Amino acid sequence: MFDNEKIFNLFNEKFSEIIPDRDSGLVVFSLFLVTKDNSEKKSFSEAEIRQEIRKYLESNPDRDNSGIVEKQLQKLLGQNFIEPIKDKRIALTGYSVQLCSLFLNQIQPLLNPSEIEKILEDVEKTLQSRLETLEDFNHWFENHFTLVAKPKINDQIIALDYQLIEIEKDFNKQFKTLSIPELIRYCNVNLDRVVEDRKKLSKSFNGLDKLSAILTDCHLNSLSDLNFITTKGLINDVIDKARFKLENTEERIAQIKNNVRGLFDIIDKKPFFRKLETFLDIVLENTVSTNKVNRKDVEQNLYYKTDIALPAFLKPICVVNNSPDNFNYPAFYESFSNPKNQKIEVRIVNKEAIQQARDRKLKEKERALKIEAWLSEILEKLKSQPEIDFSQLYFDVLDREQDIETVVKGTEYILKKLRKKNFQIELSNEFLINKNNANNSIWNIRIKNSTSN
Amino acid sequence: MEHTNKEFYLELKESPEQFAETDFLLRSGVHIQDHKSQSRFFRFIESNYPDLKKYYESLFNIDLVPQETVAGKYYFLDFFDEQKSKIKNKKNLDSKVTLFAIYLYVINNTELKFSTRITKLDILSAVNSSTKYKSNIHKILLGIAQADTEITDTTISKWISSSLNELEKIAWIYFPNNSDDDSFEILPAFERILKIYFDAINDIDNIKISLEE
Repeated sequence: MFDNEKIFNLFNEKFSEIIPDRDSGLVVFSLFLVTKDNSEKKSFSEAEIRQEIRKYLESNPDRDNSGIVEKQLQKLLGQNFIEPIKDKRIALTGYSVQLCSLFLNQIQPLLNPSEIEKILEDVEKTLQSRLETLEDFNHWFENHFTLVAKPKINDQIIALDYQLIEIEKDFNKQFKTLSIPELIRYCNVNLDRVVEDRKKLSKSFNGLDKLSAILTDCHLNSLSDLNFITTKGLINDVIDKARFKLENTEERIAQIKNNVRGLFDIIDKKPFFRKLETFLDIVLENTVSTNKVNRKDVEQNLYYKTDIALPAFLKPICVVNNSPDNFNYPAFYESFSNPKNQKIEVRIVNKEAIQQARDRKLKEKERALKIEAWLSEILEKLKSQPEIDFSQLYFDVLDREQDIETVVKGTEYILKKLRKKNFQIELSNEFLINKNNANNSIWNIRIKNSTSN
Repeated sequence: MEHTNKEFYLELKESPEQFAETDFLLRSGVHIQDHKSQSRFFRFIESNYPDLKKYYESLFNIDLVPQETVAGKYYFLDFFDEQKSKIKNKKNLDSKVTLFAIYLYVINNTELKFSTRITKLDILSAVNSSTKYKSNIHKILLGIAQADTEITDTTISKWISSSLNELEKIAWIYFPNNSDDDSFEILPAFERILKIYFDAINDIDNIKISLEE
């Protein structure tokens, strides 16, 4: 039940001076708490100590770490934190017990909401005076927030958590001895104290929200400096975590209160609890085991495996189990999709080639229209003139259209059409050159109206 | 069976989008309760209970059962009559898991009544420190009462771990994801143990006499 990790963090520096190895310290402290909670528990089996070691290994607990566990166990024995006693049992040494008692005594008076309130007030004041430059702010973060406020905030949460664990244990103990009305009174008085402490702590944590608000409103925030934004994020993380943990303790207090309220329902049911215990006793006495075999688990620990048969008066616990096995897998969803004998193919389209073909087609159409217009122009001229200089017309069209393909194709087409219409086409050896572009030239072509002869 | 072969329309008043997941959980044997891990499913059932009850009754001849306890309310699917039910797949909890569930129920109500979080080590310690039950648990799991050794502890630890895994599957217990240790919470649906064995517990004195004869 006890969260040794938090305790270790709390006394990190002091612990590391006495027990340099982090895991050893945690295991020893954890074993000490087990003996403290249960006065009859004076020693441990090797398996119990191995289990504790596994819990505090920094590496992934799922992987096979039997070698590391064994090494850690030998280290604890070698450092005289634990010692073997009779019947293959292991106990904490006197030194370990004294050391752990020392730490435990320091934990109990830790919860101090008024102290954290003052600390947060101081931190707030120093923050206000350190917001001129980024350098000042970073100095405040390193020396006031990280070194002072953050550890104190954590300490208070741990202390409240510890108080809750202790109160749960105490109530469990009192449940066995006090009458139900006495127990309800006892629980309410003690629970009120925890609730009050939590309220005070929650109130004192309001200072955290002030820090957050100051950081949002300050001029440094408007500079969009990456370092400031990162640091502000770290501070807000600490604040959020503290709030989350406080909410967690509130939830646990509500659960304990609920359990206390539940006591009213069992106020006259002491005989029922006797029956409940007898029931377990009878069930255990009349359960038989068969087929005992030895097995080894993944960590190569030997254990017994038995089949058991419960007494006949105990009906089995039956639950509905009708969900599809593969509900969350693609196979389940395949039945809703297209039948497997249908093949879906995506048509690959070369859009660029289609566009080029379209442009080419449009240009050809445009050229044909221009050539038709040119022919109409020539025919119109031939109505009023006996002959025309086609070569000059050729250069005029070329200068206008700036497209050699149009004039070449046009010339071919127009001359063909004019011949069909019985116009005379005279070609001379005279070679004419375009005045505007010396690279273009054409034979001298004259078209004569046949009726003019 | 009056609804057999008739058309049935399920009309959901609130959050119909929760139906598929809630239905899947219920039909997987999961108990649904007002706990932070299940609150949306619980609210969905609360809002649509009459329609959902009729749906399971009409189509599967199975009952959507609400149960109220001091710890809270919970829902689960149960057979009216296994022979007539259209759902043929059921699961009986393994004998060792059933035994563990009874043991956990008793110690949770007698020794750990106020513990809001319990760890595997708490249970192992409870077994090892119990003068009343330890020898019988050893006899069942180890064949004979033995002194505590590594092999006895490993055997009991395995029993605890595998049973807790099974109880987690039907949402009788809950392991928080963000927990720093291996602690778990007992959920309201764990009270179903009492509902199942209530008659046997009340009649235990007579049962004891009949077994001794």
